[in-house]
Amino acid sequence: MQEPALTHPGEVILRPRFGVRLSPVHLLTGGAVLLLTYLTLVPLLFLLYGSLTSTRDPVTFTFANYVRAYTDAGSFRLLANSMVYAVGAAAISFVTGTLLAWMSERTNTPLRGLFFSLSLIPLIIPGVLFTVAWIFLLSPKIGLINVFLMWLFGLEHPPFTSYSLYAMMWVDGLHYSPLAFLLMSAAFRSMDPSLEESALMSGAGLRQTFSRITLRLAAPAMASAFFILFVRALETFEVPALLGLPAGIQVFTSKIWLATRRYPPDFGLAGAYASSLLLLTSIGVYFYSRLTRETQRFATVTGKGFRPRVIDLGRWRYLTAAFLLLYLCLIVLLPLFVLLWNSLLPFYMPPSIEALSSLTLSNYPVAFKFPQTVRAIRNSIVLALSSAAIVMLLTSVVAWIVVKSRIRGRWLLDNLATLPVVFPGLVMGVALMLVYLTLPVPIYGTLWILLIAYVTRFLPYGMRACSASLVQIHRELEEAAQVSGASPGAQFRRIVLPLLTPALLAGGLYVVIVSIRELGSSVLLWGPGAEVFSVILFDLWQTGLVQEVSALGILLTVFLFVLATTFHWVSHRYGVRR
Amino acid sequence: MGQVKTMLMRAGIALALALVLFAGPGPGSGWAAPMTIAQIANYKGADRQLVLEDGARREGRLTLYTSLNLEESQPIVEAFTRKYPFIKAEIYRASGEDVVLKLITEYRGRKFLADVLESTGVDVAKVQKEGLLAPFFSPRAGAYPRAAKDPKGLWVMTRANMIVLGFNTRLVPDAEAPKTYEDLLNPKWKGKIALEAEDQIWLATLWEFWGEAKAREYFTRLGQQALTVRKGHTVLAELIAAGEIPLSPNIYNHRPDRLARRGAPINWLPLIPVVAAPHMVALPKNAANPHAAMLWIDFIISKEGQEELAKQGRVPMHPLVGADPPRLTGFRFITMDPLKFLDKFDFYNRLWEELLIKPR
Repeated sequence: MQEPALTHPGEVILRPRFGVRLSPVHLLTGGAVLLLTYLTLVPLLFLLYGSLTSTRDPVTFTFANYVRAYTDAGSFRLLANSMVYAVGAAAISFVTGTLLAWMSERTNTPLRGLFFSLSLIPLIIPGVLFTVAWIFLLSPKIGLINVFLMWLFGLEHPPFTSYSLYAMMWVDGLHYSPLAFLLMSAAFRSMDPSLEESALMSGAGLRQTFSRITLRLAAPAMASAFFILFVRALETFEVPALLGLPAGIQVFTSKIWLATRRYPPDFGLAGAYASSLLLLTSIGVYFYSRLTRETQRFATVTGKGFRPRVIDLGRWRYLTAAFLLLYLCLIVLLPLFVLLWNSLLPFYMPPSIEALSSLTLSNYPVAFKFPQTVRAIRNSIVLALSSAAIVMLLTSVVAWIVVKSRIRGRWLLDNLATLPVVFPGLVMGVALMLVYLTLPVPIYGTLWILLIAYVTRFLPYGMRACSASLVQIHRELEEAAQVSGASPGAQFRRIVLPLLTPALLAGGLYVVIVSIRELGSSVLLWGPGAEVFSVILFDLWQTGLVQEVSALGILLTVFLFVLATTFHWVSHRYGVRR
Repeated sequence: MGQVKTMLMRAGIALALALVLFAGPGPGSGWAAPMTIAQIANYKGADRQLVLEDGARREGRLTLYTSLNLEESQPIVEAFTRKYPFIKAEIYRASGEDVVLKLITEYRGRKFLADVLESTGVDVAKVQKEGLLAPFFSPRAGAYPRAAKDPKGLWVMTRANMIVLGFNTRLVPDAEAPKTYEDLLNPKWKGKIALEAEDQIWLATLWEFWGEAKAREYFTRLGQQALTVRKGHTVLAELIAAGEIPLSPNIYNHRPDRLARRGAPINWLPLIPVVAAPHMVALPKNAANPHAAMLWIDFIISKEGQEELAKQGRVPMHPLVGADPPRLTGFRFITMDPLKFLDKFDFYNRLWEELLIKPR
């Protein structure tokens, strides 16, 4: 008979029944390990294999791909461009986001409540749309901002251009600044004011307190935020493809994409570049995880409720409010306006009386008549829902094993499930292409390969949501069930699962939103009948059907906004009250 | 009991044999061997149309890989499905080079999705080089001159993109626009000319026509004009219409006409000799729906299909079908053999990069 051991209170001991070696949970763990290994390690192996073998038969082991990749005259410039771009974009995101987070959390700036909700909108707008909108704003001769400034100041030459490294850093930096804002807000919010208050009481002035206490406390959070933004910028595909290529500026992601589009197809070269990019992102993620572990050292969350100290800015708060409004304009209002404007024009025109008279709604139905569009919408929805379901199901089981069980080797599961964080979308696409063009599984160009790509890429998000929630579920509940005789399966079903539901919903909705935006892997793996929405937008833009892109973009934004509002409402309604 | 069982078993076997022999696939009255793709594609019998329609009825679908813009390919496909309502046609549209790249990659992954391929000459030549095309016979091809058909029967030309000078009428008044290639070298156009990023065929065709000496001198001087480079012929035309770029000698002439009809300030002029980039239709060798594919091929190269193309503002290759408006073909044009271009691609690409792209 099975006796629950009470020597390690709070943990579920899984002793096999009737002396059988393998319990269902062991099988489950084994199955999860196999599945996760297949999803995460196999693409990595094929990527390395593909980069180290020749592209033509007979297949031989060779370094030629790497040699070709790095003896190309522009290869130093490639590395330099990629690093400068990533650092610059991360810096812009970071500075903007931190300033805003500070204004929002630590000062009495008016409007900051409203600002918080609106500032998250850019995270749901696909990168393609945001970039396209900024091309409309900053195009050398016809960009709205340039036209306006040239008219206002009577300039001869446009002050800005969208096709330069600075523009790339600006657009990408701006697009991800809400992420920086979220990360730093959380950091500022969790700072215990007692440290600062004791400094002030000991006689330190505001500035001294800020530099010696606040900044030091926030330093690990700031450094880790910077690294994650840096990795994000390295991974971005839309901005380098749409802004960089016309300017002749190449970074890793655009080089990888171009390598897959050469004739004859050069997957070895793509693999070589992709592996290098993977190395860079792994380094970034490694520093990020080291720093977040450090953050725990400075964490002063003690479970007591507190509000961080809010600084009264006096008259200055109107200035900061103006800054908030300017930021909202740049990140939401202007891009959406210019997309809306474009969607109503028969062909591109800067605003003028004449343009106003040519406004038409005809782009909307035309965009829908493309068979691609309807297929893409259907596919995107199907993929989003199925990947969310699979990810949350898989990660709830895996997270339960990692957090709640004492199975040996659960650290392996944790690492496997979070490994995809280092894979940029494009690299995952190249890897999966190599896998399914080599293995005799004919799913290339179908929805199945896209599903595999999405599930693999979004596993870490699911893991984070589930682990965080599972850790909070108090052990007493499970212990009580265990003592009352419930099997681990019943414990999971009747105690853990209902309490996990908010995390599952929140994580699932997040995966839905992120998968509709996904472009990096989709752009390499799609095929006829297996188009997704972001790829259609990208493709229509490349074809030059600018007005239709704007029309579809507006519709998508509206849809995603509704979805995100639902997400917000659901998490408010069903969130576990602490 | 045993006897009844044996009798039932024998009856069952006989029934099964009868079903297999008399009700199997084929036109009802017998057991016909299924035809291979090569046989279907080259069938010359008197009942060819009937055989193809029967087969297409059974197949029920067609996947078309084309580089023709969706706005234009959709009405043409609709005309086809009006003629053969039992075929459900799906268009997969991508740029010329992308659509063949997809096909080549898919064949590598053993996925045979494309039934018909229609793309630029150079791109179809790539697929031909990979050995992925099947020769076909169509009675409609008889109307075309020999130069418009592949000698081995692998493709037939369907349309041509005429590469002309497009310009914004507000920034470049009609009277001032360049009328010859030489006019483009005038210093007043410095910084105002854009080229399409991958138009090596334009350079190559002119190079072959003018000869090395004249061509090298011309393109070297053109490269000194502070050129802008943009990817996509349609994009280029849109940018000219929007006023972002004043002019470009790499515009397909049907596009400005389309834009001008919507009221955009764009016009075009032929610079003699005009380079024509032909497009062909071909049959991938593992097409999943070969009967429907052959019906499509017949349609698009027939007078009917070519007239549909002309209605969309494209330049048809059928000798008896004129373009609409006629000025789309009212000039002298030259072409280059696609296979020859592909073989010398590296040579021309190097020239393209060295003379035009790098000096920017």
